[in-house]
Amino acid sequence: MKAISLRIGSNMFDKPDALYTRDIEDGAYHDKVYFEKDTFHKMTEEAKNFGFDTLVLELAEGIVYECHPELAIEGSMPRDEFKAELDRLKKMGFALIPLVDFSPARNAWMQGLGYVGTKRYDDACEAILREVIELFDRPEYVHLGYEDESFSMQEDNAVIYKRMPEKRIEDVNKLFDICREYGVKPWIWMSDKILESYGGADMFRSGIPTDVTLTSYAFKRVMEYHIVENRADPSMMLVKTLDEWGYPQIPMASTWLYDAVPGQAFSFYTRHCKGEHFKGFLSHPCIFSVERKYYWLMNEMYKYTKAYNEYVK
Amino acid sequence: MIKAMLLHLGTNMWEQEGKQIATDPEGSCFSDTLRFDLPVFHKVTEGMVQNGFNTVLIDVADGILYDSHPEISVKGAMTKQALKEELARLRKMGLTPIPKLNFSTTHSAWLKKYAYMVGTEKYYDVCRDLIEEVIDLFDTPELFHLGLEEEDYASQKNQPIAIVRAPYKKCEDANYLFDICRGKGVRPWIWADINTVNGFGGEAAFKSAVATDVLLSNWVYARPDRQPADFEHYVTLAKWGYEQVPTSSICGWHFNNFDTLDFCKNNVDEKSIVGYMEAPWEKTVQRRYYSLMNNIVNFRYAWDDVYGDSTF
Repeated sequence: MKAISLRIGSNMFDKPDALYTRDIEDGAYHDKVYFEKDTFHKMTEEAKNFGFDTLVLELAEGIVYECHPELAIEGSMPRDEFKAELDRLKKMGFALIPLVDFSPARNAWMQGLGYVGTKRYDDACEAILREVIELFDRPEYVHLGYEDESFSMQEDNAVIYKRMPEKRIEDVNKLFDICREYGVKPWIWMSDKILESYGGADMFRSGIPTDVTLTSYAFKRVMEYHIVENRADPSMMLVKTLDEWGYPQIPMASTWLYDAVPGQAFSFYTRHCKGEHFKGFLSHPCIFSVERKYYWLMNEMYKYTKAYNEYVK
Repeated sequence: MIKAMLLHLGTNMWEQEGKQIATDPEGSCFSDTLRFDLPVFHKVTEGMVQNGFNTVLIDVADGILYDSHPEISVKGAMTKQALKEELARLRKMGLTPIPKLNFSTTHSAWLKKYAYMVGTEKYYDVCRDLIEEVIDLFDTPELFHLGLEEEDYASQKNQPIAIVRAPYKKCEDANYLFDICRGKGVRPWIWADINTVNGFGGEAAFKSAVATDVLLSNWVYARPDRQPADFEHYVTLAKWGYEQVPTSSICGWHFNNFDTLDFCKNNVDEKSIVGYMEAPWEKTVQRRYYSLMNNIVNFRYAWDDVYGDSTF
């Protein structure tokens, strides 16, 4: 799998009452979906040209959910229109994977339904997840997000949610069970910090089954001497550990922070990990599907593909 | 108003030749061969014009075949004739080319053996020869960027040899370079972040050594809330009476263009701001093409956001 994540929705960061509101580009909440269909079309065509075979589409409020139409804002794509987009992408030859992020740090799109710990939240997650699985015709994977549930990653918001590890594990497993009902593989983000939020290695391994696909963050530089001196980015090093623990992974790389990361990430994955459980690789540009980010995406795809061809192919 | 972007012709401004302690093969390691693609330079400069830039700052370094000191030129260095033709093309497109030669001891690996002769008569002669030759090549440009930033041990910790001038020496040598430019009717331009000002000996020494005809560029490639003092330095330089070209880059923080423009527009005496510059810190090669274009487009959109002037 050579996948790339693209955004349909955009309210995945600050809540409406965020204390430190910057602009749309920095994650500020907005009342209109920050998405340009023409640019999205250009981006998907370029993705095809660069040889990507899978698109991970981050939905958020970018589509109108029939189970919760109240979540739609100006610009949310009606179901028929979105289905037409999915058909277009399938015709282009892409496998399509939905990403619906239920993490309290990333669910500003859920608006009043996002109160973690309430039955309303649990019911909404279930209903949205089921609808998305059916909309995507039972995809091979569903990405559930579930990252960054920490104080520091929500510090701009007026109210911060952080579940105890036991509660987090309980809640995420409910979502896993729904995926399994449909024969769909659940997929979540990982990092050294996310591992801590699950209560550490032992709790994670006992609470998260090995049929769950993981992707550990790879945003930071990791030079060879960092690895040799055992001071490389712990999130990227976690890929090796998760592989040893037997979890299926789709390791990622991103130019979001540093241009050189794809080369370094792939070098690490292919030279320091056995990769027995790798199911593919993911490019995660973390950009909105708008014209001003077009060259950002091009640079990401270019760097990623170059590194992929050098180390993986 | 200057709307500039920095592009690299020569690229040996970081690691010295010889055994490397820490090398990033995609980044700053030394090369004895030119790392510059002319077709990419063409595409990027066209992109600059399409997005409203009017000035291109060309970091020449060892990227041309010097008449005065061919021994410092890298293999494949551009001939002066070829660069002259490029400069004519740029002017025809509406871009003003400005040369840069960085004489900071941290960023002068391009000087080859002369980088180790700082303070000697030979060193000063070479500096003069190169500056005058480049001024002539650029047909006496309005400005000449001399670099002079980050001259400290921390910035050279991975080098086989670290060379740092004492503040008084830095002041003396800087004025030597400034006078070479002035002698040819060219305005000197240098980096002037807080660290660089401290390298001159701090506020009093800097103000005494650096006359206000020297154009300054502060740069803070971070968020204003993370490095407020560095952003405040733009205000300080204006209060000190200098003209400046604030420089942004998305190499360290995505929204640095926006933050820099926004901060300067709202906080700095507008008389002090004679322009802005985007510094991608990328080589002008195919593998950096999209990144370079990203810098151009990002800066342009930031300008639209801050100044609301889509004609940029």
